[in-house]
Parts: sequence; structure tokens; C-alpha cells
Amino acid sequence: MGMHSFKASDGLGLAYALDDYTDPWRAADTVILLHAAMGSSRRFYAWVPHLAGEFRVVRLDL
Amino acid sequence: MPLSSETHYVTASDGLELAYAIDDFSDPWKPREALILIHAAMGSSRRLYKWVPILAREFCVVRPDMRGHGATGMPGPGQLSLERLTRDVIELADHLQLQRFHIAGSSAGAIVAMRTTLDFPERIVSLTNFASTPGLKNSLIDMDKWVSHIRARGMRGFLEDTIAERFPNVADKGFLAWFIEESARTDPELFARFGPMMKAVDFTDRLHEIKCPMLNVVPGHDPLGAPGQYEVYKTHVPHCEFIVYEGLPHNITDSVPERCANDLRDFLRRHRQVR
Repeated sequence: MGMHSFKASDGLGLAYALDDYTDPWRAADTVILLHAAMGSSRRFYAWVPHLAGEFRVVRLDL
Repeated sequence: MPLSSETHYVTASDGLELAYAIDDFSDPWKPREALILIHAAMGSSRRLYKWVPILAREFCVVRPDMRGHGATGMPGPGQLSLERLTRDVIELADHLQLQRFHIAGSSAGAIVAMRTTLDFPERIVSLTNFASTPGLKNSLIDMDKWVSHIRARGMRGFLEDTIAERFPNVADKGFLAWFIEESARTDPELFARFGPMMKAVDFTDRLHEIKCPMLNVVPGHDPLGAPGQYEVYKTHVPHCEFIVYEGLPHNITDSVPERCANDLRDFLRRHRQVR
């Protein structure tokens, strides 16, 4: 899993995980998963292997 | 699209920097059960990307880059031998605090996996061999011819010249181009050392020492192997499991990766470290 971050327009750093095991020579759709309150990107860990062979899976920490 | 697994590094005991990927989507509250999965010659951890989603829900999947391959450093004089490659696996396992682990390999990676199992049996929970004989000494590969071909045509030219015999049944041109692109990153002079090194190896007479569960997955139509040469496992490791992919040539771990990963996962499930 790769954890990354970017700066939101109001200056806050937002973290996200990106998992991609799709065929490198093809374009793949991206799905952004958003966790529940009191959660984080980590709570979606079990979803990733089911999805990331066909889709780029982005899990944002709200 | 780029593959997402991060590259990590550990320094081997001889100073070479070893690269590896680690993917683990298993339940965090359960004991970790690890698999070290080793690529073929002229390959890298990246070539095994399709295996990860199938295996990593239940196992911590560690994919090292062997010396001179992928993001691992180029071995200097005296820094490349089967014993050293085996030592790299153990040092990586020590670094990750894996006292015991499953191990699997493709082709030359399986030679390393088998040798690791022979030399460090107490560390290995199970062993899986994809498309490899116990060393290349008795294979039909003319390694001198391969090296000459690579030196004459470059790695890319060699791969382009031989791609049809590697993947006669694969129509996806995108895959074929990617395979060539990835494999062409291999330094020709590295292969000029690595290939002959493996060609000199034959540990058939040690196979009987393998006591852990073992799975052999072999191509049914391997032009690189002498007929019946995979039968040595049935003879010398009588408890081993054996699956033949009928009609397929040598590169099964690239041509049918999901099938390989599913067969491996099923085998690992039957031989779990933690029950």
C-alpha cells in the first residue's frame, strides 16, 4: 500500500492510500472509498484485494 | 498505469542494497503469516503484481528483487552466487522478523526458494516451485547460446526474438510489449553471470532432504526442459503435490498468473502455519 498526501485548498494536509494492481498497459477506472465517522482508510483494508486487481483504489482519510 | 506497491530496502550483510515490496491486507488482529515470493531471471517483483490481490488478503506477501534485478543493486565481483541469493532471503526474513515463512518462486526464483529450504529448513513452513528443475544443469537451455544472443542483439532484441516461443497462446499485444519492456531492464552483463551460474546448479541429490509441504506447478509443454525432468520431484520428494498445466510452455507465472496464484493460495491454506 502506498500512503500519500496532498494539500487541500485551505491548507490542510490530506492523507490517502493508493493501491493499484491493474494491468500496467491498460487504463483502469479509479474508485475513491470514503470511510465512516470514527474511521480511517485503514478500516477498508479488506476491500482492497477484491477491487485493486481491476480498479485503482483510493482511500481518503477524511 | 503505475503499479502501486512501494519499494523498501534492506542492506545485505555484504553491503548490497536489496529491494523488496511488501503487501499485507490480512486481518491485523491475527498472527501474521508470511509468504516470500521470488521472481524469475530477467524479471523483478513487479512481474508478480497480479498475484498480490489473490494472496495478500490472507498472507503477508513479500516480493524481493534478486541481486541485479529490479531495484536491487548490481552485485560486484564475488557478490553473486546461489549461496548469496539464499542468504539474501534469510537476511530479508530476519529484517522483517519472520522467524518462519512460506516460500515460493518462479523458475530461477524457485531454484533460490528450494535452496533456501534445503539450507534453512527450520525457517520454511512450505515450499512452492513454479516451473523449475532443481538447477538448470540438466535442462535443455543452451546458456552459452542465450548469452551470445543477448550480447549480439541486446536484452530487448533477445526478448523480441524469443517472445513467440515464450507466449505462443497469448494474443494481448499490450501484455507482450509490457513483458519485453520490463524484462529488457535486465543488464545483459548481469545475465551473462546469472544464467551460467544457474546452469551449473544441480541439487537433485539433496531433494530428499525436503521435509516440509511442497507443491510443484509445472508447464506441460516446456521446451526448456528435458522430457520427464520434473518427475524428479515425485521420485525424491514423495510427499510433494504436483500440478501440470497441460499445453503451456515455460513462462506460466506470467501467462497464467491468476491460475498460479490461486493454486498457490489453495496450497497455503492447506498448510497454514497458524490454525
